[in-house]
Amino acid sequence: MDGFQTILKFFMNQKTAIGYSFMALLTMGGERVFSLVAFRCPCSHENFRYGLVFLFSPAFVLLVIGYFMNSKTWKLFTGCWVNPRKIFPRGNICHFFYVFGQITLNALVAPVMWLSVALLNGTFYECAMSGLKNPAYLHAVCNSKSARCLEELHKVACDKSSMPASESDELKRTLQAQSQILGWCVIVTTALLSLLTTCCASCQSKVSHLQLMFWRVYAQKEKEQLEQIFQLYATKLSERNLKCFFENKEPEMIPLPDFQAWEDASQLHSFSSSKQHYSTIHRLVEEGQKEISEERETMLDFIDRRDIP
Amino acid sequence: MDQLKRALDFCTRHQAILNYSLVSLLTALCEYIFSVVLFKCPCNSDNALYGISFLLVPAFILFLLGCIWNARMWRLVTGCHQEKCCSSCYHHILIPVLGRASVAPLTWIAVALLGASSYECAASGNDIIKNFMCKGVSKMCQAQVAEIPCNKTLSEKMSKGSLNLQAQSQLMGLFLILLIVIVGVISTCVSHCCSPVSYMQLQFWKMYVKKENELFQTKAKEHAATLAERNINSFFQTADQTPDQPADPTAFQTPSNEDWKKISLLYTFNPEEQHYSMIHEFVNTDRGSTAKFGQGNKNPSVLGFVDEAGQSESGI
Repeated sequence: MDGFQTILKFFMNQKTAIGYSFMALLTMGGERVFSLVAFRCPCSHENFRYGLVFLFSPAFVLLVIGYFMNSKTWKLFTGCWVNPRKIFPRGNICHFFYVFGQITLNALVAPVMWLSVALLNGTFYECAMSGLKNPAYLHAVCNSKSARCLEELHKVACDKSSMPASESDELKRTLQAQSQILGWCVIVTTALLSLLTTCCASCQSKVSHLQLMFWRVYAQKEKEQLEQIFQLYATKLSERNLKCFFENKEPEMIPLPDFQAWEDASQLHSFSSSKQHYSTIHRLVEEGQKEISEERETMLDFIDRRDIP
Repeated sequence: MDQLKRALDFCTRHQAILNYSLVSLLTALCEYIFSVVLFKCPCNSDNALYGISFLLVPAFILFLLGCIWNARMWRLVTGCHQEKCCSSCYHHILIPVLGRASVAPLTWIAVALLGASSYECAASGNDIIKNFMCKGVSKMCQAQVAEIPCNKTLSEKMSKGSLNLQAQSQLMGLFLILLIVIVGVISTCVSHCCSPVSYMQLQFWKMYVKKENELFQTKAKEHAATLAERNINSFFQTADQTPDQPADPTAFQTPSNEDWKKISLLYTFNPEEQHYSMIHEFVNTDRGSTAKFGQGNKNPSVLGFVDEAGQSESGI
């Protein structure tokens, strides 16, 4: 039992890594199913268009789903038409682009996974590039092959060209190899960029490492308690209302925040190094609801993009 | 346990998109099974009719089911013959209802196009496609086009280097999916952008509406049970007594017809008051008797969830 608890605790601590691994496995499975069930290379002069559409449209759909699932997107956009000052506060115009950039980076994880898995598999790239009409590329691929290669490259993916089988196989393997190299390049580039941005963000952080860890824990706890309080007040209010409706009783007062209080609490949090506020609600409680000028955000939000709500 | 609770909370928060994904997956699975098990293109002059009916008829049935399954539709329609229906409500409410009901049929059509068999069958019976494929070829060609779905080698011979029918179908399917996604994104962003209410208040509001609906089911059952018990006991006690002296039933407080009508109205937002549902507004305005009741005149699309709360208790 004790050993089991230790193992469980280990997995719980690594939940980010496990979450991403699960997403990678799901992407791999989805890509295999998609390429086996749906993808049928036409082996005509339209290969290039067909292959590219199949390669990039699922990536776009995954990007959009990534935006949808991030609660920061909705915090940013809710009510922005009614009150544009909310996203372009005075003296801090870049705030919107900064936050939107963070959200985009988060949302790019799934499409980049799809692209790397699809390129490592090779089917889409092979079909697309065998239809590319660029003379330089064709000469590079058909180097030291028969003359028919230039005209019949697009049929190679379906094994329907009139070239000898060995030549056809070699062309297929070349295209697949190019695809896999490109796939590895995508993975390596993404990994390097993530490492670079995380390091830059950490370097520029005005807050120490342990305070950052505390901040993450605080944000998580505040989120959980907010949900609990929402549930409690929602239950209280609905019980009161239904009792009054069915039993014709007088409604008792239940104090709830007013419109303006909700608006103030919904602002995205920007860290100010002169004050020590860990969230918008913390700031509101300590400073009341007056608007205070804030320093430009530090890169803190950038590091904690996954964890800070 | 804690982690399980967090996972459940995640599911509740993203319930809308999870619901749509589930509906899409189920529809995709059904379409796949349908096309593998049932679909057999006749490969004659009936191709067009057969292909189009397999493509569009199930989609239409799914659309009707989607409309029936929407609680907001029933709030709009119930009793509208007697009451003066809010004509402007129709634009604000019908369009989101129809939009939601189109998720399953559009998924069906997109998956059917990706599968390519329905489109291939329908297109091989279509005159425009036949003329395009048979330009400058013998008259026998037109009859041969109809046999393409049943003969794979024929397809390559006749497509003349352009996209064959299957590839055309799959590209159309992918473009349809992209279109649905783009329209979905734009409409959700616009409805959130134009929201008169802040993000956190919306979160609380959604939770309140859900709780109110659950408690309404419970309270309605209790109230109905008590009223039924009183009525039946009264009835059986009357049977014991003489017909000239029936027993008076005990007084029982139940909402009147007017009260029920008031809370069944479609929710309209009033920026001056903070009412989270029609029942809340009813209770706060002294059972709907003050002038403040029903003063809301806005129907922001982001607040559509208020009327959809009774999803499980739709009109069926």
